[in-house]
Amino acid sequence: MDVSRWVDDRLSSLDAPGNWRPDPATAFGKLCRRERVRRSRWFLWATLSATAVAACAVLLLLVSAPPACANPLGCSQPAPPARSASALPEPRPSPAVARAHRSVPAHKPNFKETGSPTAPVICELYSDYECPHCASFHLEIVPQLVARYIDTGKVRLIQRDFPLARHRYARMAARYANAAGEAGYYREAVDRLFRTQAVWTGDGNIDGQVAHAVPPAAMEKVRALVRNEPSADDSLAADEATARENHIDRTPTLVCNREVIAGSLSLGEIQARLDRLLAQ
Amino acid sequence: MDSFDFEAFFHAHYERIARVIARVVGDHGRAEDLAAEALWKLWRTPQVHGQSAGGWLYRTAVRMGLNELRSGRRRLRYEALWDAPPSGLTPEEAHAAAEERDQVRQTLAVLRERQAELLILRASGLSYEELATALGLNPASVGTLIGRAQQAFRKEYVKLYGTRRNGR
Repeated sequence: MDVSRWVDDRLSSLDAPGNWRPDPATAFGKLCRRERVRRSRWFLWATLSATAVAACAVLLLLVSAPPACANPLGCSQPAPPARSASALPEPRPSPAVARAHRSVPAHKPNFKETGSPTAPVICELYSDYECPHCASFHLEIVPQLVARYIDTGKVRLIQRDFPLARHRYARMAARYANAAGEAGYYREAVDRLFRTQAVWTGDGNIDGQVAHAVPPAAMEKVRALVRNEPSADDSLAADEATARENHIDRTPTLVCNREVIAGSLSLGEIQARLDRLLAQ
Repeated sequence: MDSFDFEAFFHAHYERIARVIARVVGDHGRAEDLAAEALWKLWRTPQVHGQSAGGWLYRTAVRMGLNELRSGRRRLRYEALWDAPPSGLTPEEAHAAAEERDQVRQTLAVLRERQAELLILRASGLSYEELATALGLNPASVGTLIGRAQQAFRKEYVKLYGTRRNGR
């Protein structure tokens, strides 16, 4: 048997009919039209993608620009990039101290600082009076840190005001607290403001709450400072400048010996960080 | 940008490429689409523009046809659309012819790719020299390779369908 002929015979059955004539002009036109559509789709896709990317970038800027409160319920914000031990400048004395050194007698106590001046670890606590998580931190965590680290001379704590723009009364609350500090009742005013946060953030009556913590005579001084003293917000402005310099973007934030410790951490985690710093 | 005149090349080769693919897939419309696609691939592959363009194109076209044949989206659905049987055939003869075309394609689909390519391009009218260029073979061995491919084809065909020829 001639295999070659046998195979050719069968393959010839696949020959296309002679009356079929593929038209190159039509096919070329069709191909060109398809490519035009493909290119226009690609252009549309690229334009939409670029627009979406730009919109996302703007959205991210808008969302991430304002500082955030760490409380996931009260002031939730997307988590910032992890920055555990960023290179921050050495903690500086409170602006209140600086101002005291400039304008008031040196023996006047610095109401924003607690603890031994020679403590090996200096912590700065950035808070917003209207931030619920700051209230929790102040009322639940700080007393335990005071007992374990501050009263024992291991840590010196500096309070920093960092009122968030979204909080209507936070700046005024900070002004009252600082004025109360000038009058010698900083801790009492701060405690009162954090404990009654839900009340005065509702009715706006900060004065009434601070008046419960400060004796009447001192309260008159506080009111005078709040209403008339041009320098009443100096401490606040200095704290905000320090926060910007240290890239603080949420509250509460604890910065200990240049290491940022998120205020949302548990007491145990904060203690572990402090113990590590003390061991260095 | 090279000086490759794609439009001229397209017009020169399109019909023959479409016929090569139609031989494999059995559907005119699909063969025309695949032929345009093969030529477009050529245009998008600048490194083969020039002397080797023709060989590359035939090799690509026959491979696209075989892939289509093996992919399952192929032929039987379109077989009925193939041109009406020649007026000289009875309906039974036309049916047998269609059945044989299907059997030939099924056999090609199970052959080794290089052997199927050789047989299809040879049946499409390419010379030994053109075959050697298209498939990257030594021209002196083309005849031997075709002989082996034919033997393999017959063996597979007989294994699948026996020696009886449908209706003829």
